[in-house]
Amino acid sequence: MTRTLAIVDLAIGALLRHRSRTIAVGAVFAFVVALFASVLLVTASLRHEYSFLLQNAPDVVVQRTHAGRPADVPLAAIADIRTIPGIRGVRPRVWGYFFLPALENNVTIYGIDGADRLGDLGAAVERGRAPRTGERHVLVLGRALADLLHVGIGHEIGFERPGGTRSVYFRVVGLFGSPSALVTADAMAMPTEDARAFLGVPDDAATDLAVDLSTPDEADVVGRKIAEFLPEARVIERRLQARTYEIGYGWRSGLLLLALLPAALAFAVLLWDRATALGDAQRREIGILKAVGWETRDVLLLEIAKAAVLGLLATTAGLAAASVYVHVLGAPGLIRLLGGWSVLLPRFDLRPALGAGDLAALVGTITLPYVLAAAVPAWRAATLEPDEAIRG
Amino acid sequence: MADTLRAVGAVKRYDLPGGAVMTALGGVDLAVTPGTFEAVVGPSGSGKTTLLSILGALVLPTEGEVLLGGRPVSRLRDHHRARLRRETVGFVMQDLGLVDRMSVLENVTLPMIPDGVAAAERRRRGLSLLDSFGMESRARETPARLSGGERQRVALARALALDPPVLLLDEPTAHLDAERTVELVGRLASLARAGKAVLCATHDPRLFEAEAVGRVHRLADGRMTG
Repeated sequence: MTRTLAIVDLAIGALLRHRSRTIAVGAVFAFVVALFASVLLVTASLRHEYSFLLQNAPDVVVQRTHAGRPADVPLAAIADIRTIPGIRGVRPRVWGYFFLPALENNVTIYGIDGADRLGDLGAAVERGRAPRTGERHVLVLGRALADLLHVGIGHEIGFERPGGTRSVYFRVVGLFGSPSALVTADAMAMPTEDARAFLGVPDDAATDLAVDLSTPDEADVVGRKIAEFLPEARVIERRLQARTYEIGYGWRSGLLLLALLPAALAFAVLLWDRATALGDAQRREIGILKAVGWETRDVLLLEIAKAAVLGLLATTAGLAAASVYVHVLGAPGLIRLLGGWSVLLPRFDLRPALGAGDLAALVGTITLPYVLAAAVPAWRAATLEPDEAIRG
Repeated sequence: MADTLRAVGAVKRYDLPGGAVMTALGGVDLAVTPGTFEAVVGPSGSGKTTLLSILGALVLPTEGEVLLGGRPVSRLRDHHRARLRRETVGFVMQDLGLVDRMSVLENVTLPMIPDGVAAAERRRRGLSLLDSFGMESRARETPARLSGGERQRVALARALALDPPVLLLDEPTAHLDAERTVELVGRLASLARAGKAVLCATHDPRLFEAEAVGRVHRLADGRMTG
């Protein structure tokens, strides 16, 4: 142990002695780590968001398309669907997207019939209250959205009705929070009657139907039966939704990581250079170490320790830089690429959600190869006779 | 007195580009015993450095054997050979073999690291060794900032770091003026009197003609001539 500590101590000393070289290599290393880590951090945060949304989503959502376009679902279908065995409940939902010019983003408006319906969002009123039954022209806002709009409880907000020119005014009666940053930055909820009027959803229809099942595993069977009752139905199972999100974000992050390939290749060339070449001074140094009685494993440990200390410090610095870029600055640029191209997402805080697996992947693909690349030429020199290594 | 170090029919050949073979050492027998101060002399290219490298287990002979502390060096595995080198031989190379990127103290304590000597103890022993050579005040300097004589003393201090029974020095006076040479010879003689086996490869008469040198081995074209 003393021997190992002494060698690691010597390695740290060597890095400090060559401060400018250490900083230059470390900066390039940290930059490459930061590039890849940023993509992983954003993807992990987005995955965290949609997994939370899915946790609170109904087992099956029934939408309707007409001539290939989204259409409202007639409420009359509810009675038929309720007759299907295995269905625990069917709830009509009224919701829609609304473009807020002030934010240059879409927000989602939900119709609710009391505080309990906020459960669909996985949100709870934290300040103020939910709209009371029969109350009109009031709304509750996600806390982040309220911050973005600079409004609070008691304020009145006027929205121009979609497709119209008349402004409708709502009084803010509550603010809700959620473990999902996206929900609190994206959503506002108002009495269902107000939502119908604002979004233009007829009284005998809903945006979609939320179906809860006794056995969620039977979602595909129930889905097929729903399609029999409602031929234009588009049945979305939670499980399939999860898969769609997974593929979508996985594909986008994969594409971005592919775009970073030139940086990765440049780094690989650097590694290859390290793995195949050893400077005369370094080889002589290794020869001297062996001449004074160092064993091959001691030399290897010294070189690995140097690379590992530098690699881990640079990885930490790269991760820290990526965290600031993603979680403090909101990943400007990257979030648009990874969040989606066809949907306008609101500005929301990307919450840290990087898992041990992501971290291991990062270290395994960047840090570990760097350390191994340092070990290869050191091993070559260390297995030479000391005299041969010194003479070169 | 028992041999500490013995070369038996040591031959060293090097393969040269183009398939040629160069014989640096052509079958040398040499025994070094504790408490002696001896020299190997010969002109440049006579094989002195190769002989010392073989005796110090820095390189294996192509033929023949070297017995270090009674153990045949060529039959040892690499890590055993490293340990034997560390414990038995203190080597001062022709170019002194100091690591310019390390401090004087780090250079001196290098052999102690694989021996597992704790940091504080390494520092204490390193400073004590440097003190005995009048170099303690230069402990934090790098070798590049030292004079030839000072570098020579640092190299010798490092060779003595683990108090080995054998000291091998390759052209130890190459960097020294007359005064420093006399000082070095006196120090080496004193180490021999203390029981160490001291062998110097040199072509410097100031060293091999010194009274303290007990025996002079003559080498020419890789063979002992006297």
